[in-house]
Amino acid sequence: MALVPEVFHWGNYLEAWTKGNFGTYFKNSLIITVAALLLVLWTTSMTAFAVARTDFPGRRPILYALVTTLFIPAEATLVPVFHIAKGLHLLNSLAGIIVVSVAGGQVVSIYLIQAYLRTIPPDLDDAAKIDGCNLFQRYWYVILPLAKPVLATVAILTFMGTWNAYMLPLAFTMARPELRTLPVGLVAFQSGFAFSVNWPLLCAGAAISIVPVIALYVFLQRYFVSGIATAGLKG
Amino acid sequence: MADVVLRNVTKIFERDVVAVDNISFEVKDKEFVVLVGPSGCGKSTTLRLIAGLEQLTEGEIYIDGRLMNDIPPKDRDIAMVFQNYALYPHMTVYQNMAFGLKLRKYPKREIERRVHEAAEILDIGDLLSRKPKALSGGEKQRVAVGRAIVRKPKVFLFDEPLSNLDAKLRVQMRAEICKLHSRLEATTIYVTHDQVEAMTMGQRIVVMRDGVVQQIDSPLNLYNRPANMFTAGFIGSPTMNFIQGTLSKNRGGSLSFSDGVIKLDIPQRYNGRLQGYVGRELILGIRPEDILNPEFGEGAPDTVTIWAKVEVIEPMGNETFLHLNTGSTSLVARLATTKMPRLEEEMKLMVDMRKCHFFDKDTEAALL
Repeated sequence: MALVPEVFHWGNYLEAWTKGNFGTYFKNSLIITVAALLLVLWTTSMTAFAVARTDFPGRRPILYALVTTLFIPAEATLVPVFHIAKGLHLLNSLAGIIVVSVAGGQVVSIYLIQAYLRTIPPDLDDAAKIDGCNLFQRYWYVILPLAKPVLATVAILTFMGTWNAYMLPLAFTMARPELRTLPVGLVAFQSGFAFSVNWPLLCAGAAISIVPVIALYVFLQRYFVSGIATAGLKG
Repeated sequence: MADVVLRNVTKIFERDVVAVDNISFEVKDKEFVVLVGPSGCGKSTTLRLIAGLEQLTEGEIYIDGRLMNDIPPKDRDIAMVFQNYALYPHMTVYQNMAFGLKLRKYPKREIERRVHEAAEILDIGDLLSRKPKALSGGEKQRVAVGRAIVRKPKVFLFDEPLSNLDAKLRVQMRAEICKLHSRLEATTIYVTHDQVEAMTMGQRIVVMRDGVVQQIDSPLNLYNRPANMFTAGFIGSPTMNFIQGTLSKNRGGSLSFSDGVIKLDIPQRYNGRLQGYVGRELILGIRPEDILNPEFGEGAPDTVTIWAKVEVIEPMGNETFLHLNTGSTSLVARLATTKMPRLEEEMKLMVDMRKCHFFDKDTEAALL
């Protein structure tokens, strides 16, 4: 045994990618994660903008109601979500996983983004109004570019949450193994061998699964830190 | 350019907080009007109402003869400069200045021309590619002004634009804004809490207190003929001295004012207007510069002598502020720096009664 292997077997990665179906799982994970990420960023930033930067009756009760749902564990909602998805014919489809992932990632993201947006001086909205912005232009041209740090934070949290999700993709892909995501595929791969797990392929698959997360974290790290720091200052 | 008319304007915020209470005034075309008053007097709210950033509770606002009550800010053809500059941090100076024109879909070449023209006027041509965080306070303020002038709006609104600058830069920018106004001949409404800014910049000044207009007049008229005690105390630095006392009639028919310790004879010409107040309490107002050194004031007509103890001496170089105590009241005198008294010294001074002011004790309205 050695921490650093004496010989690197790069062939295991190719084998995991093709024979172990990790290529398909990777593609599924990527489609779900990227779609969920974009949808979460788009919808939550707009909601947070409305809550933090516009004035409408019931704004606070809406935020409090959203935050209250954080106390309900995801496991408790799995069965009702499954039933609703079944009724909407969303089971056994990537679209179904995307829709449920987006819905599940809303509240924390809205809370983080709105807390950050409250720290942006209100004079900027006034200046934008006088410059000629309508509501959407104010969101798009002025507030959204200034929210980059917190959007990066939300992007990383959403990416990691969706990429590593196990229960939801498992429940939604029972009947169609070709739609499995990487975590589901990894566990299925491990349990597929009753007595002798193919550890080299399993480890190669696991290594493949963490590459995008590390890459994203390295790319967005500076935003991640400042986003968390600032989002925590004011709420 | 255009005139701005406010008619019976009221703004009530949540929990019945009355920020602006039934105010009316008119700003003429090309005029420079300053709204001045202490914090919370409603001057910034009034400006925001004109800009359309706040919704009116009651009243009417007209710009260039057009009712603006329900018109959004972008369609009022106004530009505003904010106290905190409100530059977009993610845009360069050029983009900040061009943003309003871009939203209004001006041709690119026209945008370029206007931005460079404004940059030249404000001497910020070499800053155009910089982001706001790379600018000093004064430079940011210039860019904020530049952003306003590129649009060539009908009305310029300034909301305490110099408050964040240091004293020296404030004086410099004050002069530059005045020069800019003469050059652009734009109708300008300027909000400040600084009475020096108001006096030096405004063609007319609107003095506000608790959401109510106290007086509208030219700077010198406000100084020389304040309508009430608030304006008298707010305009002028050091502030006007107020002494509460009683008016009495002397044997010869002349009037005297006394607070129990000092007695001041009132010039004959005020008799008519003060006759009704004989035997009643009222407030006398004396500006610090109307308390004179005996060497300058002795023997002058309508001056009276008082004695006061020197409590604080504030030498300003060209003049000195003396904080005095007459035994019944505290006064501030502004004297030329000649021979200085010592602290605690009992000092003889002359009060120029020709320039005194009298106010009703209850209504605080000026009586002369």
